[in-house]
Amino acid sequence: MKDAYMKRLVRVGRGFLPVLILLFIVYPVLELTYGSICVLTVGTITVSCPLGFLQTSLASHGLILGLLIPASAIVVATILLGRLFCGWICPAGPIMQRFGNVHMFRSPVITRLRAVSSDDKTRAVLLLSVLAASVLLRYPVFCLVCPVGIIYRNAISLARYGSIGIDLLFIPMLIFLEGSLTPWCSHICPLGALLSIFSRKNPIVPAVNKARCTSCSICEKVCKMKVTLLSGRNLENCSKCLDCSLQCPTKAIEWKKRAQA
Amino acid sequence: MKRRDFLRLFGVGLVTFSFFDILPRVFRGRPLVRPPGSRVEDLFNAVCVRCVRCVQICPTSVIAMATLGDGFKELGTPKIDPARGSCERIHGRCAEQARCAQVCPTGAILDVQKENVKLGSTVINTGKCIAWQGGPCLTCYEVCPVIGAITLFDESRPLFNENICVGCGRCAYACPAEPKALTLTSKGERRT
Repeated sequence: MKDAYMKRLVRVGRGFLPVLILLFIVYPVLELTYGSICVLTVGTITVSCPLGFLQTSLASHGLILGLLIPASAIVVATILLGRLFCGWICPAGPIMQRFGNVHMFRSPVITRLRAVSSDDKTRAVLLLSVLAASVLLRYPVFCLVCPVGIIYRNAISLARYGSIGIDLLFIPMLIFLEGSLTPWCSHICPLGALLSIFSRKNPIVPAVNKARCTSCSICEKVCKMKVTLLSGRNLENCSKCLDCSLQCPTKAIEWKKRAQA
Repeated sequence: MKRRDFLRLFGVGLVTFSFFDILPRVFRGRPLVRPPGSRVEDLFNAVCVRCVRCVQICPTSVIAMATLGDGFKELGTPKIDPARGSCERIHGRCAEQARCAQVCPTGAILDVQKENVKLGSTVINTGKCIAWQGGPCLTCYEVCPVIGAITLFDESRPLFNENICVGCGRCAYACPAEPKALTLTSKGERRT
């Protein structure tokens, strides 16, 4: 009974927390926060998207000093907490995961692309191509199509002027891309790829208690970030969504510090 | 991952974004009017991180978010939209402090001196202008904060001097003609 309650609480919480944070940022209470999620000022601390910092620096062929410390703050947070952002704060994640696993078209080309893009290194390669494109084209290419940025930009525009841009259409496009190829959050998202690089050594990870585990691999099936817990692969992708430990029929998954795991 | 797969995937990524780069070259919109103190256009597009903080802070709501109609490269960047208000950097609420420059985290908008601000200039379409069509209207002349930017011809018709006009958009915002006789353009803009 308590389990079912917890499961529902976590699921609802994961769906609503991004919306609550979005509303809180768009309509700041007592002016506690300022800005969108790309560059957010909370009180006196400013944090910024590390990918935005990298892209604008590369695009301007220089170093954007104003974003250096805010971006490193997020990097430090990712080293400590892993990809917590992806599971609980990112407003695009729930949309991408909810509508993303529909395979709309079947054709040999797509099957082949799917096979190539389901590789674990896909996200790193796409991150590289985003950074290279920023240098060559001289504008932050991913910022334009970034679903997180688009949602926040349009929410702020809606709150301020009551109008939204056509760029919202990029989100269905990305969902289509994801649906026909491979999961967005774990395999395509360049921001996620960048966070994954830094979350490699993050101390809080799920670990399987071998004594209780029945090797049913339910934890791997429910994982949205394609972490294979039993072999410990892709562990840096973990968004701390708690799905595996709540769905495990024998409660074999424990949250430990990495040294103990 | 094999080297061939790596190159293929890398190429697909690059080609996708290059495609998005070709689009704005084909469908080129007119140059946007940027907030006061903006960097030159190419550097502006490179440095702006599209966080829309300037859109949020602008007290007159004149800074709007560029949409797909303004070009792909410009997506999410701030633009001056005189349909919503006018820039008060020269005269008004932002005369003491350039708020958009203060909140800009990347330096795409710089805090330049008031005397050096020139967003562009206003162009008049005399065919739509009430005064030029013989009607009683001098709204633009009355609201203009810059002496000499609008002069009167025959004491009843406005003439625009694009060298003196700072492009604040106040006249275009106030113009009562339907459709508006005044358009704010980036012509003669001063950027660093």
